[in-house]
Amino acid sequence: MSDTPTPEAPDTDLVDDGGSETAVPTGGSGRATRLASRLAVELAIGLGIAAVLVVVAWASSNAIRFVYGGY
Amino acid sequence: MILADRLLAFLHDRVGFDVTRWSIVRIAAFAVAALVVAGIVVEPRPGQRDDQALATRQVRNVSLAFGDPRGFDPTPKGKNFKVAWIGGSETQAVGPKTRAFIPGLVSERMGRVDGKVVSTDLYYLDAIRLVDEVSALSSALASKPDLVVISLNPVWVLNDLAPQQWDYLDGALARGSLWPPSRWVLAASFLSPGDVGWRVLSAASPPLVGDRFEWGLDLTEQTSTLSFLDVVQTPKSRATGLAALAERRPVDFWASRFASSRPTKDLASIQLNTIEREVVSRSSLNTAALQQMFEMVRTAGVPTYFYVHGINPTVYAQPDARGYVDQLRAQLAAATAGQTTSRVRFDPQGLQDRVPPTKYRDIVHVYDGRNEAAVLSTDLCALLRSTGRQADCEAP
Repeated sequence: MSDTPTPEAPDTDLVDDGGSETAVPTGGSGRATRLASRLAVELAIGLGIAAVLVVVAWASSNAIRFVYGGY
Repeated sequence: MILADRLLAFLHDRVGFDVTRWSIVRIAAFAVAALVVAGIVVEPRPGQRDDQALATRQVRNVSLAFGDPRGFDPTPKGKNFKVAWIGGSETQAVGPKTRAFIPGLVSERMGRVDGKVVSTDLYYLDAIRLVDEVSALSSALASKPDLVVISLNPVWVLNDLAPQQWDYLDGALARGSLWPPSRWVLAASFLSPGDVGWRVLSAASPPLVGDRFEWGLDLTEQTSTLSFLDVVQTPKSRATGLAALAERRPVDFWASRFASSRPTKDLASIQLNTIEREVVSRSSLNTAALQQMFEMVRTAGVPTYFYVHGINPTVYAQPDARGYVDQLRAQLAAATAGQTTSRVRFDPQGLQDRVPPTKYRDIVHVYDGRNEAAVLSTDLCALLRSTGRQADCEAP
């Protein structure tokens, strides 16, 4: 496994080899579709993590009007 | 992790999504970008300054509500002569004739400096911890004051019980703790990875994460009645301010472990026991905090005056109490040896014996702070004049 992505050849698609992204031959439109799909999933996960962080931030804000003895 | 594994397996089965190292980098980038964009879109929610009762036009308490991790909200520099005054409840004078912050009484006596009106930001917390004074000093120096005044409460300044009061301001120590290495002592002692993480996220998205206390208040209000359990109604305490603090503060647990030479329930005697605990504790942590404060003001180059508030003369007349205060002076002198300069002043003698006897509510809280204000304004004016400032310094 390598941390460095392998340079992509024309008409290839990113696939998982267990850690890094490697390229295998495929059609150009298929590659674009899969890349868009991958980015969409990653965007959704990123937004979800941001939302969870915000909720946790609010819930762990010490927001008790008088904090003494509250813990 | 199990949930994450199930989610990834679901995504793999449904849309053929596989995780790579680069996808993790992109997910993190999307999350941070979402926080930044949301922080730009959402309106900021400034905190409420606490305890406005004693504020005047020229002196205001800039501390936010207890529990608010933002800590302090200093005023903009403006055209006034700006003083940053840091201290605890000993800076109050609340008696039949006087109801004021002592810094307010001092500014009245100082008048104008270089022709400018004296305007004071008071970084005030009941029973303020020395490490909170470090946080307050960091916030104060960022606001570019012309003069810094730091009150050291003789009951708590070197007391190793003091850091046990609360922890919501520990994260504020992250600011400016990276360099010089002498600041790592406090950072390593008080900062948790969570504190640092929230500070970083707060910087990325101030209105959403930085202002989380205000959001949390709303969340608490809307969800406090939601429970699957039967809610038991208990009578609410009517205590406010210092009385409420005295009812529930965690430090009392640790204080109760200390076998004092004089068991008592009288407030002044409890405070005297606390001083007794202080002089035997020899806390190196508070010494480090004190030395860090001196280093910070020397580095900033701002004229700074440290002082120790006096204790009740009636109590001070007792041989035990006098002995404790003498030991405290010796410890403070040792802790601050070599730390002062012509612009950074501290006299371990403190206000004790320099202020004419006055009435105290207990051991450290005065009813009428005008005697203290007279001594403090004299010292501050001498400091300002030595730095080339023109100070009126006339009694009102």
